[in-house]
Amino acid sequence: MFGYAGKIVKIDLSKRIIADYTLSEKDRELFLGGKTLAAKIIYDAFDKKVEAFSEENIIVVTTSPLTGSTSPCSSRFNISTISPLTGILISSNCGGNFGLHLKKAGYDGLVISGKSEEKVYIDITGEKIEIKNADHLWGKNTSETQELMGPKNSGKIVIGIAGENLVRYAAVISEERAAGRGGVGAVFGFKNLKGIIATGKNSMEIFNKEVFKKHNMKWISALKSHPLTGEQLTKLGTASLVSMMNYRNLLSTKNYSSGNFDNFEKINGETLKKDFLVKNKGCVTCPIQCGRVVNVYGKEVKGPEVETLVLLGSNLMNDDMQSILNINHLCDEYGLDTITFGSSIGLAMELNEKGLWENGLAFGNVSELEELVKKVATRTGIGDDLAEGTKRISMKYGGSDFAINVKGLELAAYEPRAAQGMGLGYATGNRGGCHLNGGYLVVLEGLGLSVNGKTTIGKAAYTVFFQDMMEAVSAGGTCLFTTYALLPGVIVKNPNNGVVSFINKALPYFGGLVGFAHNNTWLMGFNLRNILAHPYSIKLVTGYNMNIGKFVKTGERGYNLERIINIRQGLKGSDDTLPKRLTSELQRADDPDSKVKLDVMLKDYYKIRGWDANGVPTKTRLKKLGLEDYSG
Amino acid sequence: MITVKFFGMVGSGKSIVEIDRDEITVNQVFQVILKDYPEFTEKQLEQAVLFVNRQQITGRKRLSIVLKDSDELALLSPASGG
Repeated sequence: MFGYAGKIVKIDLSKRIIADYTLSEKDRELFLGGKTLAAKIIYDAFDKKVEAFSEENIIVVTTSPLTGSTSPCSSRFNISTISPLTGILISSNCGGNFGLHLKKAGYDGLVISGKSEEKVYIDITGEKIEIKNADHLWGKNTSETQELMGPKNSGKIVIGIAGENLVRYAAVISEERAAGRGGVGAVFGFKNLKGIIATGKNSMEIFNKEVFKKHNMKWISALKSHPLTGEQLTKLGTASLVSMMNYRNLLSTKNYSSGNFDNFEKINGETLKKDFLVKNKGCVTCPIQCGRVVNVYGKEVKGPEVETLVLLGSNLMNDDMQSILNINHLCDEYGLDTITFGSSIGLAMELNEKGLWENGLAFGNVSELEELVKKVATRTGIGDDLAEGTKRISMKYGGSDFAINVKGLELAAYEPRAAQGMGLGYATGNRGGCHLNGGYLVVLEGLGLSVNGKTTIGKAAYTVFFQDMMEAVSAGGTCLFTTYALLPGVIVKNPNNGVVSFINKALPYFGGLVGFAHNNTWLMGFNLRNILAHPYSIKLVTGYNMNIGKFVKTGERGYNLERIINIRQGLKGSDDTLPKRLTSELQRADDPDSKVKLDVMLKDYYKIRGWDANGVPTKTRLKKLGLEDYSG
Repeated sequence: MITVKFFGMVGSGKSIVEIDRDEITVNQVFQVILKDYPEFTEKQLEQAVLFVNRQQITGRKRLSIVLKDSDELALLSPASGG
């Protein structure tokens, strides 16, 4: 079987039964891998709403056809489950090397069900899978757990103390990389599962090895010569965004009450590089190397990316870079999502400021934040409330208008009142307020191109298109950062050129065309291997007749299937919204356009998606996607 | 005093330059920088996204905009994605 190890295994922790999971060749081609394949498995596993903290809930770990193929930036793997933070489907994507090792062990995925009575971890050594006692690992942080669990030349995913204590945004950690969002680590903790280790020597068959090799070389060269993936991300990491975000009013500040932070220069990528960077680091097969290594407590550890710098920095009015580095490291060690942690603290600070919750926390006062990580992870004192995330904190203490989450998942670093398309993406993202699952339109609206962030024109079509594109890239197994190279370097680099300026102004008006192309993917039944390398790579690895149109359709199929699962979990169209602060309060008093005009865009969004007025996929659309047998 | 700040890949590490003038155009600022600081290239300055006192300036006329005492000119490299 080309592109796949050929086996998915079911592991029942209650009954301790290990068995093969059957997946048809047709379904493999329809859903590819990663989050999309995981959605298919989760859809099939339940026939009704399932609670996150229940024995019925399952954890699905998936790789993709490009995982382990030597394709650039392809060391990703995915963890999906029903989220204890949102109550709907969560898919959390992670770099590192676990996916690679899982595939080498001979597995495309794991389906973990039930709940173990004792603390356990799963040991996968080639064909042999064992459920082992984890008493000696329980209570340990993530780095120590990985050290104790097995040798370095193996893939490991583990939870920290936060996952053990069912913190609703506990992460799963692999090396220093995190499957951070949505509390997948808490579901591990509920199942008494401390981690998984995988080793093996299997190699994967490539359909057209020679052409694939040449294609990879070209793709790597394109990534290295692009101004975003070959220069800025490599030299400054994702932290390079902070300065531009500040100037474009996109830098979430003081619990999203503003888009600018006066002291942004103390927490930007330039300062990180100049005063704190030890060296760059990247995942296996990655030519971008966006990872940072910094010093924390006398050790060289992973540095923060932009989301962490903003959520633990400007969002808390914290201009102390070293404190951000320290908190970031502690979150990794305890196994916490830095985005939800930072957003929960920001809400708590504002509640305290407004007299709604006396908790001792204040914007700009960072002296106790490091201690607070431990309190949250162990659910001690105010940490017990903070461990619940912003939605539940606001249900207890008030402040739902400024509890910055969508569907229970906290928003990423980009303040959407200066980027309408990003606002729509947050509101409609299948996993909640996620920038990537939301389509990441902010990259057009000021962080890559200079499309007007204030206009709503065309944004619905671009959001749909980019959401589905991101979905397909994840299903194929490539890092989403490779999609930046889709923006022609010459346009990105020359914003002051008259033609480029015209393109930026004209792009919103091409929304209709983008929407038409999205809904008529047969028009894109070809490959442009030098522009969008992903579908051609999948074709060469698997032998599937993949092209741009089929690639986008695969993404759309995944997006709709996830939507159906969420509807089964109780999601309604009215959940496609944003906190009132972002739709009703002006970001800047002198600019009446500085709020998200969601209603205008949402109607168009549903129409392009082929969803009814309540946000439910129509039967016609599902049939078109080969999902006629699926329903919420 | 005019403050000029550099972000991203503009200037390769130089973060700030102060120009002791009461009045100067953006274009003249560029000439001063190119003359006094060899780490900058003309191309970098031409390609940079410009903000005067945090308001973006665009188009051909951006170079003739007059900066006054205590104004801040920021130059950011256009490729900032992440």
